This record gives sequence, C-alpha cells and structure tokens, in this order.
Amino acid sequence: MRAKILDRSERSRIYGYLSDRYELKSELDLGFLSLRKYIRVISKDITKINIRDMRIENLGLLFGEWILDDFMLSIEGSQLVGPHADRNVAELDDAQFNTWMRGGKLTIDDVKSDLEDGFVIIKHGYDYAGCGELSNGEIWSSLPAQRRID
Amino acid sequence: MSDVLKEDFIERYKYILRDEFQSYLEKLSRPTLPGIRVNTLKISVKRLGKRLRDEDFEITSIPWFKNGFFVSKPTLGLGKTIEHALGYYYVQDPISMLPPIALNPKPGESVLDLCAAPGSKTTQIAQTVDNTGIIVANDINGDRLKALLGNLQRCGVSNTLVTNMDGTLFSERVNQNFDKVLVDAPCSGSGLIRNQPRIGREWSTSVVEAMSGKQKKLILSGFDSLKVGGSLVYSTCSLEPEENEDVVNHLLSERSDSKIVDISFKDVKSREGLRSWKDTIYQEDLSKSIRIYPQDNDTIGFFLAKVRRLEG
Repeated sequence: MRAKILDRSERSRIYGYLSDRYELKSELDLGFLSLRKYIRVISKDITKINIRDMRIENLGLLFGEWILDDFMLSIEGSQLVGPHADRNVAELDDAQFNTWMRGGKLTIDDVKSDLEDGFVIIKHGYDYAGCGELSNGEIWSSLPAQRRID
Repeated sequence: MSDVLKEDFIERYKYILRDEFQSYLEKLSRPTLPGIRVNTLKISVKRLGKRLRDEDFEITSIPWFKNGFFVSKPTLGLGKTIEHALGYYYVQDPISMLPPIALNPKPGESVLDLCAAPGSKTTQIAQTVDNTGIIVANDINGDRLKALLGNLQRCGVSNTLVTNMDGTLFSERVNQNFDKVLVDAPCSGSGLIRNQPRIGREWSTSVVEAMSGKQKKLILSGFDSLKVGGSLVYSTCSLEPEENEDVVNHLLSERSDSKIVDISFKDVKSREGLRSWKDTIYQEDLSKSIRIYPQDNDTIGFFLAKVRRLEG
C-alpha cells in the first residue's frame, strides 16, 4: 500500500478547486492523503503511531478523486463540503431525491437553473448525498451501487 | 425451544442458571427487538429520532446508551433505508453497544480493535472520540474486511487504519502499544440463540473448546499490545465459561502485570463472572467480569471483562 500524506501544494490544489467550484463560505481543515487515484481524509493523529510492520488494507475516509482537472466527491466528501458550499449545489425535492438514491439520473430543468456543467453536490433538506456530473441538462448519478436503495 | 437444544447444552445451562433456567429458556423462544445506534458523527440523536418517528418508525431509547434506540417497527429492512445509506445509523444489537462504553476511549487516544469486522464497535469508538486519535481496526478474515471497510466509509470514520493480520500474532508482528485495546473475540455465539436458533442446534463442546484456545491467544496478543496503564476490554456474545472466565483467567495467570477492574453500566442488569467451572477454580477477581443473560434485560446474552496493564 502506497499512501502519501499530501503536502501543502497538493492540499491547496484540492481546496482551490473546491473553493472555486462550490464557493465555500468557510475553510475546511482536513488531513489528506492520496492512495492510488483516491484522496482520503485521515485524522492528523496518524503520525502518533508506528505503522511499520502493519499489513494495511486501507486507511481514512474516501473523500473523492481527481478526474482530469475535476474533483468528484464521495458521499462522505459531499457531507463534509456541502454545508460550506454556496454554489453548484442541486437542491432536490422528495421525488427527485428518491430517484437519486435509487441511482437514477435527474433532468436539470426539474432541479435548479443556475448550476454549471461539471460536478454538482446533491442536497435534500439536511442530507448531502454525493455529487453527480451535470452535462447536457442531465445530472448523472455517481452513487455507488452499495449505497443505493432498492 | 428446548426441543432444538442438545441435551448437554441443557444440562450445562441448568447447572449454570439453576432456578433461572426456565426463564432463560422462555426468552430463547422469542427474538430480541433490533436496535440502532445513531451515528453522531453525522446526525444528532434528536434529529434522527424525530425523522424516524415522522416516517412511522416506533423507537424507544436504550436505557444504557444515550445514542441508541430499540426499534419495534419496522423490524425488517433497517439496512435498506435512505437514513442507513447515508450513514445516519448502524443496525446493532443494543447489548453489544456495551464494550466501547466499557473501553471508554478518550479523544486523541490510540485504540486497537483486534477483531474488528464488520465494524459495529469500531464505528462506535470513532464516534465516541469524534474521529480523533487513531483506531487500528484489524481482522484476519478478508471477506469480513469488505463489510468493515464499507461500514467505516458509510459512517464517515476518518481516524481508522484497517489491517488484515492474524490477531493472535499482532503483538509479535507490530511494534506499537495502544492506550486502549478491544478484543471482541470470535466465539460460538451461544448468546445469540434467541435470534439465530441454528446456533443452538449446532452447539457442541468441541466448538467451544476450539474457540477457547483461539481466544486465549487473542487476549494475550491484545494485552501485549497495551501501553502500561492502558486498558483492555474482552467481550463475547457467548455464555460459555470456557470462552469467557477461562480466557480472562488465562490472561491473569500468564501476565503478572494484568489486573481485572470493575465495570458497571447504568440501567443494565448483570451478574458477576463465575468463580469456577468444572474442575477449575478461577482467580477471585474474576467476579469483576460480568455476564448478561437474555432474561436480564430482554437482550442477547453477553460477557465482558476489563483488564488494566500495570507498571511492569
């Protein structure tokens, strides 16, 4: 397992993207590491223990992944970022949210008109439920199969 | 229920429970109410409670754990709701919420959960310390690790490192001592017969003895991974003395720097650990371990002990 704690410039790239895309109202203070193509959040206390000799399967929380120059948040990533976001948040009604949680795609006309193409955070009342890619008037689901409801 | 239990099982429990055997047997014929633990990393108890009641759930607070509910309706499909998918709760037997309470982890501490999958206690520990410190969640079983990884993600746990190692060898292989260690050991599951009658039908002393041997190795490995002054909680959902008092007694005999300490829970009826079984007389302090029978709190059966590591 080759995990790497992100340095300042790598963290800045993530924060910069999130600030631009979602116009964050406040700063996030998260410890990040990269593992394969994924960005994960990890407690800063990880430096307090000796991990040598451990057969590590995984660590921390999947926050999201870079897809070229875009960043796709996981459900948990959206729950960390969403409450700070002022832009590109798709607010769904009950029916749309049910569609989303079943893995269905949404039509932009039904959601909100001021969203920009690219990744948007999905919101329903208190809930943040990942992000979807807006393209050609549709929001495509990126909800993992195991997190969908039947 | 007695018709599916083996004769030697019945004889054993008549001996352990004496005049309470009938009330024990009556409980075995009725499944327990399911429970959920509110994941306070993501939502407050008040908010989730209101939301579930608005959706016609019938829930009541668990007396011994402020973040838990008994669910009397619905009793099925609790893992298929939107709230579950978003990680707002974990379906967990209410009595199995006790080991992390006994462990009492503090923010910033290092914790080893030696037999962690599928992750009910790991996620509970993480919410107790508000995602601070570090938890090493280990399990030997690769298939069960997938469930552990999924539950850690769903619950928003960011202070955990998952390892896939033989728990009995953990202390030998890893040069790290922890503030707290949980050994929630794999067991025969005889405390679960209410919900899984199959366990009663398949129960055998050979399985119990095989488990006991493994558990003794696990508890030593867990203890050897503790810092001086640190605490270990040993628990099982078995009520067999070989898997419980015998295991803790083995630790106390093998490690002179171990000391069993009192544990008590508000609003939980429990009994002292056994002082002897068959030909073995256990150390006096074993009475500080606790047994919880199905008839005590209308739950599954459970065993817990807490051990401290003293200055060498």
